[in-house]
Amino acid sequence: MHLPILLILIPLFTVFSLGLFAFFSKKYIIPLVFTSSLASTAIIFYFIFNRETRLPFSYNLGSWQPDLAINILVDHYTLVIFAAMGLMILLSVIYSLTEITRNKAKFYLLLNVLFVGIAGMVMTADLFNFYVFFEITSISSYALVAYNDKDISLEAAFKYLMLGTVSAVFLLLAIILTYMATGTLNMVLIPERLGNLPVLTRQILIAFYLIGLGVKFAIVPLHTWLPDAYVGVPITYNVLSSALIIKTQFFVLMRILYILFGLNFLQDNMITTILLVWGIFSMLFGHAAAFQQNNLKRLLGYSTIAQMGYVIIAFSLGTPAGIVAGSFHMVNHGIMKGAVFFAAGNLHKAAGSYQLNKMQGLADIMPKTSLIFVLLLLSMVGIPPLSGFASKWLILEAALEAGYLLPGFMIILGSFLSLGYYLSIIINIYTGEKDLSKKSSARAVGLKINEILPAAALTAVCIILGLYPAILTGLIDRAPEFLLEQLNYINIIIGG
Amino acid sequence: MKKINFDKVFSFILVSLLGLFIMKVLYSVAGEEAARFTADHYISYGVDETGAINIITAILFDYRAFDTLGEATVIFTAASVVALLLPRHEASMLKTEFTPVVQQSIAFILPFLWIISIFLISYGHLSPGGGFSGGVIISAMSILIIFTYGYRYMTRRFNVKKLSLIEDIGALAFLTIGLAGIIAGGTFLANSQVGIYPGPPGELLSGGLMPLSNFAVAAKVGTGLSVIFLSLARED
Repeated sequence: MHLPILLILIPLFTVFSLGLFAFFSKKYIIPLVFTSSLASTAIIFYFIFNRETRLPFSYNLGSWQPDLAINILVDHYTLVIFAAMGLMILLSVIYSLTEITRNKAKFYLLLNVLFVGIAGMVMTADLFNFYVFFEITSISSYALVAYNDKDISLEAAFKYLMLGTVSAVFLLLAIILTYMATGTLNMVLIPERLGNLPVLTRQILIAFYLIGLGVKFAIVPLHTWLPDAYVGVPITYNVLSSALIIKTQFFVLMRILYILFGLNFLQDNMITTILLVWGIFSMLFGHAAAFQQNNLKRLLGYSTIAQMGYVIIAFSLGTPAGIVAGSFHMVNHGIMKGAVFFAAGNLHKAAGSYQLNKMQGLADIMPKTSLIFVLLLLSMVGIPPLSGFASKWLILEAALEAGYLLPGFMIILGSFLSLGYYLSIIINIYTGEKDLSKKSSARAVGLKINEILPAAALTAVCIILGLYPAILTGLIDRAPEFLLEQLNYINIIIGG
Repeated sequence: MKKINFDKVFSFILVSLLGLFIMKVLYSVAGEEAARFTADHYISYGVDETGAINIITAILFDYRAFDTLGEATVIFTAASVVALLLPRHEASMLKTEFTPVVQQSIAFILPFLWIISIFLISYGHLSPGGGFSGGVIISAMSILIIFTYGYRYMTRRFNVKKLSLIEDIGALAFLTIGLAGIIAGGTFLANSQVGIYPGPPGELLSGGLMPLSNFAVAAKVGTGLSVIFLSLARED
């Protein structure tokens, strides 16, 4: 059974073969990339459908004994990111087929490096191995941000590179100190040994982990790279960043906090409370900043920051219901935001710009895409029949159940705030058509099937999830077992 | 009176606090008894288990070979990114004409550098060295060639495309070596643990697949760093 490692090896093999194909024959690039992403998706769905029989699953590299080897493992918590990966990898490759026109080989090389990094970060159970995959993800992200080679994207990539490098230093420092204290990098051996350290030391370690990864998932004072980076990049990167990259970083931070330090330690030292307040702050700030944007991509970037706030709130409740709600929102927001970006990319083809005032009256030119776009925005706000409502309801319920009334109130407040700026986009798109018909910049465009398919498919998923949220909750309902209970996680690898 | 720069004062306080915290952690983790578990295992059993008498190579290419694969991917990605972004933006290197003395002496040195790098790579599991250091010396050779004989002299023989091709082949070779572990009945990157002949420690042919992985990584690192330098040092 070598399936989990294949999830890393298939994109890696694609990365290296792309160089060969680019040298000898360029026409096989697209089929190669497509086949490899299809294979990755198939493996992910294999794990999702056989979760009851196959999971938890661990794999030790190099056939060493489990306490010495680098282990990779797939458990029910991993399925949270797998659910997003299963949809996003294939759809983003499909969308990029027509979006990327120059230097295809290099783009797909970087995209596959990104897939390697994400798959590795999600599955690895070794701290340094995690850092290696963190670096792989980061470097390919910087490169994809700079990919369009315009001034704005180069500037954003430089900013991202600087912030990201500083954050990587903090993360590496935390890993080195953890190794010095425990003598091992194996995430299943650390919890027991870390328990002997003084409380203040452990708190400092948590702070380093939080800052190191916080930059990457854009928690508020550390978020500044994100809106800039989103403006000048290919839509494919927007989608992957929102739906996978920042989610994965947060996912790993939660695994580090809950598995390495333990729920009791976090609650005794108010770290969950700090995270909760921070999440609320992040959410309100993101919404407030989104109000002032006149560029659609920047606005959606701030909205991503705000939605990460909801996820942080849900995870820091520390209850099984909270974990399930947060995981649900992680996947669901990935689906919704991915679809919004795909639709926005299609709207951009008609408007020629992401400035909101240039998008006036687009509904006249692209009625179907606009309808999808509006549905998705309403879903982001949390209007009942759509999936956004389900995830916000779950978070609200979990918060109230855990006795947090104020955060519950803030979640509702945040939703109203987001309704404000999303409504203004909707009004923008659906009014002002008289001006537009005279403008030469806007024109009717025929969309290709591979541009329509991703947005439409994700919208369908969004509506289905809104009607039957049990499809997704049934997938992730065992995630808290492997996050809140350290022993369950440890037993996968070294226990009996 | 000079105005106090509050940004600097604030930064100073922050950095001092950070230093204090790091000192605190270092102070409390020093001298932990449990903290030597993995290191002790490597030192006590490393030679027996892997067949390599250079423990560092044993760790890099056997115990934690997967990390090495990842690190090599990082270098690979960095090289591709530099080659992707730089040609669009003009960067130039001052062309310096060296005297024949310099050119002749560099020509004399280059074969020795080549021998040193091959020695470091092939004896990587026996003495200090290995794929990474050998690869770095190979890239140092290409840097010397570019500086002494000029950019064009280098690109006539090896341009970025050819070097990238060698890099790809090296990377694919490393992956194939990893797959050999699966074929031998173990897991990915399995080596001595699945019965691949570890050899008598101290001999040239020992350490299982380690010498091969050393060559693969050296090809990858050497050409990768050369690509980075070649893309940076454009001459107009």
